[in-house]
Amino acid sequence: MRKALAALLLVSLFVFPFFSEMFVLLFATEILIFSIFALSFNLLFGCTGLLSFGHAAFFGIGGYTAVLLAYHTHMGFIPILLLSAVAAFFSACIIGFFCVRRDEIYFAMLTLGFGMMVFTVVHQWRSLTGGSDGLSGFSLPELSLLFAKVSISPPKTFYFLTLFFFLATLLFLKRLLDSPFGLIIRSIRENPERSAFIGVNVSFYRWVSFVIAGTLAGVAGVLFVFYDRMASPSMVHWTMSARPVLMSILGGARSFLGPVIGAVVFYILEYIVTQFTENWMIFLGCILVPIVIFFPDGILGSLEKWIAKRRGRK
Amino acid sequence: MTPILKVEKLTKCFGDFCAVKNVSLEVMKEEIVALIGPNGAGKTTFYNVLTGRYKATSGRVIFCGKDITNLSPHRIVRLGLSRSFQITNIFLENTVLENLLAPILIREGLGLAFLKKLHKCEKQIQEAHRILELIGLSDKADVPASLLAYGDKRAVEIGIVLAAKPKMVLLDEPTAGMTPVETDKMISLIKKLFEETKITFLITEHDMKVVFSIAKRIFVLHQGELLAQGTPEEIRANPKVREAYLGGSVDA
Repeated sequence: MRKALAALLLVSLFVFPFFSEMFVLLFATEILIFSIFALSFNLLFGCTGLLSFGHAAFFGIGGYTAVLLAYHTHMGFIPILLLSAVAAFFSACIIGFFCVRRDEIYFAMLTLGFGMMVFTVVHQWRSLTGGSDGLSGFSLPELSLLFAKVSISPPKTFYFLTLFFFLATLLFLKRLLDSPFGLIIRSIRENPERSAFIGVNVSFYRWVSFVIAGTLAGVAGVLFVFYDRMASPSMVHWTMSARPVLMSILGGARSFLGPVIGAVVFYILEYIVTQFTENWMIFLGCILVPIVIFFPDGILGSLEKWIAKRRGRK
Repeated sequence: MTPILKVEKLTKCFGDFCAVKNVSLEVMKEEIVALIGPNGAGKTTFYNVLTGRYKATSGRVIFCGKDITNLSPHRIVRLGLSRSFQITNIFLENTVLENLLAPILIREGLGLAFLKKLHKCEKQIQEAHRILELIGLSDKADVPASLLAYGDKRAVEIGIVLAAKPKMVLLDEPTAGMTPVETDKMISLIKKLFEETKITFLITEHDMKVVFSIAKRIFVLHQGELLAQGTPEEIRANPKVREAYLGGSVDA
């Protein structure tokens, strides 16, 4: 049943672009990009037990690096993506090194602080980043596959490119969480103090988790700037850091696909509500509050529990 | 006989209040000893300093010939000194098996094995099952630890300590809050472990029945100071100890 459902979803992700309108295709692409972003965030939040309020820093660093490389060089898509991921990796190494010294609210404040610093640099360093205007008007890099160079400009191509990275992220994270490393970070989430007393270097493992999450967020940032055709400071603003938090809580931080469901629901709600009003955040709040109070496991988490309960009863 | 643990003039103060004052003691290899004292005598603080949870104000802790004073907890565990907690401190959302598997994986340096699948770590899983057998929870391997009965949670607590394959174990009131039946079970578990593994044990306890039935040697802590040490008979007969306990309970 579960496998059949997953197969159906997967097939429809591959097939629907051939029948859908352009708008739906773009919409789906953006959701997939933000799913990667939210999944990367949730490696820290749901899996390691660390709430970051500065995750957009890495989304932005990945994105800006990609745009700068596209602007100033003639590199292809894959080298740009790799170098941008490396930039996100190193910044996550440095920022993470300081943030994992503390946990809980202090960790959240440290990430918020670093996030604001990155925002300020991006916003003020006009000569490099274009300041509040951001960077646009660059030509999209080409994607070199074995024999051919492919333009990533057609929305359908870009959708499949994004879908590839989305599925790769899912596989990678699944593998990671099923590994001994996955058990160790779950143990840290459950009980950081006890983890130290079984021999775990807690801050080191948190750091590793932070760096993996930051690097993945960088990849999502690269996809986003080529999708949006620009890099703007809103990418590194703290409201951007709040998005994966909301998505993970909405969908369910303890469920593997929770952040994805959260991203889907977030975008569909935003689309519906903004047709009626500019102040969609009020509606988001109205939905978020009851979810947190009555369904703290999120949409997917509550659904999973409900199904498990029904199965138990039979 | 060489001491496995040597504590030299250990002091721990919180501001003006010193919970542990100038305590020196030695524990020999393959010995099972108890640390007793009335509530608030400083037993748990003493453990917390030994295991790196608190920094010592002064003094030294030598374990297996190595100065471990003020090392971080995970380093001390890796050197072979492992502890249990008075208030059950386990990984509640993880299964019982996972509770024991995590320390084994860490000990074997597999914590960063990103690409290995957990269920393929057969050697480590077998080892975890052996410990489950030892603590009598083989049938509960895949149960989330949060669903266990209190006595079983305490057994998992001991299992986690053993999974780190320590040379020496500090047990902090292993029978705290247990029913008499559970207490008897725990005593026979500790005796069995000692006979089978020859690990050195230091146990704090305020149930005197437990202490006298397990320990070959006893240290008495009173108001942060080491009041007496000796065999159970010597401790029973010691007037200073009797006074500290206000008579009564030492005879229990």
